[in-house]
Amino acid sequence: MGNIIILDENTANKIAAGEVVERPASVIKELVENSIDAGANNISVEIRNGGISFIRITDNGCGISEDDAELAFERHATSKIRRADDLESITSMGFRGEALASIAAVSSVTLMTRVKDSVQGISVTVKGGCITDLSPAGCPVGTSITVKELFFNTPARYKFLKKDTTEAGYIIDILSRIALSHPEISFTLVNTGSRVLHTPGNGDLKSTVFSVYGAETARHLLEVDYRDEQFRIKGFVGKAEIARSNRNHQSIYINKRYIRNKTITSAIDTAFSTFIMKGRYPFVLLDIEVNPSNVDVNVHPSKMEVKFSNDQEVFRAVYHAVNNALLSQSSVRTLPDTAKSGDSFRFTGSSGAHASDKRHERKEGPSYSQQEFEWVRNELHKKREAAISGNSVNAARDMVRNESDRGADNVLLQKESDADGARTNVYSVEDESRNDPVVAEPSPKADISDTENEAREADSSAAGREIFKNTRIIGQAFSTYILLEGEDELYLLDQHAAHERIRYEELKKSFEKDQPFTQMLLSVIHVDLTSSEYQFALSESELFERLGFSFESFGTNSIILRSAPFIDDGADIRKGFLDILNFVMSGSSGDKRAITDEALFRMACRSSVMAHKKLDPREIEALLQSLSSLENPFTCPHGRPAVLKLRRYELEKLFKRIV
Amino acid sequence: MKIICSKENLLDGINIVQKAVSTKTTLPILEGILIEADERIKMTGNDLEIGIECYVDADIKRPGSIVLNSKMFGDIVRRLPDSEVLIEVKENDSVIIECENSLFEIKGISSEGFPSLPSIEKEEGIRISKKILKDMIKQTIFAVSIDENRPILTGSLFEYKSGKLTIVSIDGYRLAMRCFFSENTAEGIDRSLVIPGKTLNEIAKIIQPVDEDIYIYAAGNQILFDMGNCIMTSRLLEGEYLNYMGIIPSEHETKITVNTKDLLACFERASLVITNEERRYPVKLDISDDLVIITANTEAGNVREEIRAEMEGKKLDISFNHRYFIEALRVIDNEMVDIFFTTNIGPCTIKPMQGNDFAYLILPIRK
Ligand SMILES: Nc1ncnc2c1ncn2[C@@H]1O[C@H](COP(=O)(O)OP(=O)(O)OP(=O)(O)O)[C@@H](O)[C@H]1O
Ligand SMILES: [Mg+2]
Repeated sequence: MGNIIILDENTANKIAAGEVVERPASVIKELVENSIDAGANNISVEIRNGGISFIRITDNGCGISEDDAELAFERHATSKIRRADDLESITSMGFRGEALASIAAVSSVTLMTRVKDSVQGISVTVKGGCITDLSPAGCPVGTSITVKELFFNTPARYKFLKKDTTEAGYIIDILSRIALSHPEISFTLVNTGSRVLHTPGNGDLKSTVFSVYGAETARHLLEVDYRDEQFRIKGFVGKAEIARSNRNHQSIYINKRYIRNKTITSAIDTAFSTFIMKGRYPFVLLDIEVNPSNVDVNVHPSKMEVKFSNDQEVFRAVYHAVNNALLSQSSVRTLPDTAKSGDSFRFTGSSGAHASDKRHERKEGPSYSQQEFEWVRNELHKKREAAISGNSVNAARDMVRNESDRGADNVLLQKESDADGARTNVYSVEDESRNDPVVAEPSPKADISDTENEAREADSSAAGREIFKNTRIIGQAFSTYILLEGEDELYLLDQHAAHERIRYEELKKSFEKDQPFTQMLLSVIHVDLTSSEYQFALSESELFERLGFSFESFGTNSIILRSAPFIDDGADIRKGFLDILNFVMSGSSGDKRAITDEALFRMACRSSVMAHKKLDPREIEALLQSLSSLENPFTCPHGRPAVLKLRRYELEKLFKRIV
Repeated sequence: MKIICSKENLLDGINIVQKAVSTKTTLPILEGILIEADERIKMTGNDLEIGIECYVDADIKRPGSIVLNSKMFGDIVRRLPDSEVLIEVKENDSVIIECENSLFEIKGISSEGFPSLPSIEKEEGIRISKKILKDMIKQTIFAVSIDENRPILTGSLFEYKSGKLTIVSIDGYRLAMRCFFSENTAEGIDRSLVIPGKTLNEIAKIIQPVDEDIYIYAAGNQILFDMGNCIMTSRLLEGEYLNYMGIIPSEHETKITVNTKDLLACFERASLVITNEERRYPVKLDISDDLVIITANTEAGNVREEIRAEMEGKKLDISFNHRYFIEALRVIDNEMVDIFFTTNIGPCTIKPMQGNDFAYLILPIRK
């Protein structure tokens, strides 16, 4: 007997539901998008238990006619496209005709709706995909959909749901993002009786931003308004003051559809690179209007991913849009001299920063005559420049990054076997033939995520530390780098990065011993948060209390801090709190306690900086001594390399002694 | 313009107006000092936040005006011999500076574009002795906040109410309040202003601790200090200042009376083990039986100090950022002070034994 059967419709819907309906937030996204497609200008959402037990979405859109109400729950029933060709020119949010069917397959849905010309509405109840009730109902024009018992018949899904507050956080997040792309629609979200989001719906984007992110953010916006033959880009970018340590405050829309796209984020990063510190991410809210035929939204059922017919064009447009906004900002004075980025598409991420460092150092003059070295540096630098300008790396960037998370500037992360089989973890200046694809990737370091760094840190081992013992100190260059000669290689040590690492480890030890003290505050500090940050902060208040931040809610989406960790009395407490909050929020899972500790060390660390200083040989010796006793002496706490290696073989190649 | 003026007078004026000359600007004229010669010479510096005008006696040969780069002009005059200096504006705004055997010809800027100081009517001012004002500023300025997130706290409250002048500074962790009451030396109508910390700093530097009076006027968002030969104007900070009276607790659980200098010395010694790298450790106070034991324990070392004190109320263990205590104790002139404590997480207040001339409130650190 054959094994293949055609699934009955219910089963098929359940499977489809898995793709569309991942959690309460995705239900809300689909339903709210339907309301937007229905032309509503007032959409209110009510949830209980993070949307797991109850969701109701009410809109004042066009409603569904009595005849269609039942049909709406059918798979592939849509009023939005008629044939495949229409996919080329989608202007509505929905087009697949599967959202309602999928939701109804895994929950109990009641639809109440009335169209304008009809005197009465209709109510349809569907549970687990089967219609259980269909009757006329009195209701206002528009649609109200109630979803209960989500995933009641798919226990596997149900099990994966997180805590109510976490799910509520996701809902607030997605609804905020949708609201931000529709300033003409007033959105309200009520979570178990309390209103957590409300946008005015007056068509003014800035006041929508204000209602979602608060006054502080609204005050630091730069308007983006860009147009070329293909794109119209509008929205806001935030000044450095409101930058965050993660991308949570970045929302990008294509034709008002919230999406994620690496080409776009890297264009933004590039434009911002000289305006913002490494590791900080600007506030971004951009809607990119483009002819629907140039973008494919039908990549995944969640419609979060898009494909452009030409990535480079998108990169260019976004880059210019953001750059124009930044340059028009009057308070931005003298850019670092690397910022020639306006005319050519050089990435000025870490490679740009390097170039400027170099120039700066040269002014001070090398304190040791290292002619050959200088030459190598120049040559490497030139090569990099050539590679960068000769390549349109923009689009290739993301791909390359995925292929290798290795370092920039000819610097690869190299793992090599040591005598005892352990692996050292030193950044090495690589052999020419192997580095081409990486040269084309100009600035991945800034993008290497913390987890990757941590993975790398974990990689280091005692064997590598031997280099600090079995080497001869040549001296110090530019009051910044220490040169060491090994058996068959030359090491460069970034003294600043190395010192930071030492300091970091010391602090970490001392924090493990003594929790920080808490400074009580005289005048409380008021902090505006986004709804999801707010929910998170409240649900994890104990964690923050342990760190020294005690706070209480101060109305919707804002809190007041009553105390702060006593680390450094000059520190910006609000910023410290937000940094830690974001750091903890982005630490996807795992041990929250460890993550908060880590966040705290970082805060402490930031306040201890060592200036450029000329070291005497004894001081260098001492530095190496301390380094060799560290767990990971190879990167600074922020993930920048602290040690580079230039192998003799590579030098000889550069001098054409060998070919 | 052609003038002859003694180097000493000239330099006095330059030193004062330079405090209002901008150093970071894209407008070259703001880096300059405006010199106007009429009966005397008037020098003006103006960085658009603070403006200073200063009159200097001189022999005016020909009236006129010119703007000279402040740094260059100042450096030149400073290095001239102590003698008479001739300054003359030639064609094309070029300026001759001559003194004994030195002769400079430097480029000036026409005075036309120089921004004038805001005009403030000298009506209903506050009159107060320079010496007292200088002391009052010194005794409060250290608690001005540097946190730009709360701009209003980057200034001091300047409150004048029926003959009583009160200056208050608050940052996130402490409050410094100082008042002065005298019908003879202070007069004017009631008002409440918030003056930027930077302005107060400069004014404290300019005024001499002498028994002369200074007049203070305010209008709109500007303030004017009239020091006779010299006036200074400044922007005021806008917004509501915190209600400082509401912050100072009226009740206490523990009170000690100690010798100010001795306590300061204890704190200063205790802070020696709190090195730059150990800033996250507090100084701890153990108060019981007319004895205060002050300790600090850090990675760098430990210290224990004892000081006798008259004590009232409950025993208490409480910790502080040593810097806040030291900064307050350093500016108190009184030999003895009262210190009031609430709980070990509530504010503590340092006050004079009699009267209400000052109050320093400090928030503790808890474990
Ligand atoms: N709030 C609403 N107001 C008016 N009509 C609605 C509403 N919600 C759903 N509909 C109707 O029901 C149909 C089915 O909705 P459903 O979300 O399942 O599909 P879709 O929006 O067309 O496509 P997609 O699966 O991509 O969301 C829609 O095409 C629309 O005609
Ligand atoms: Mg839909």
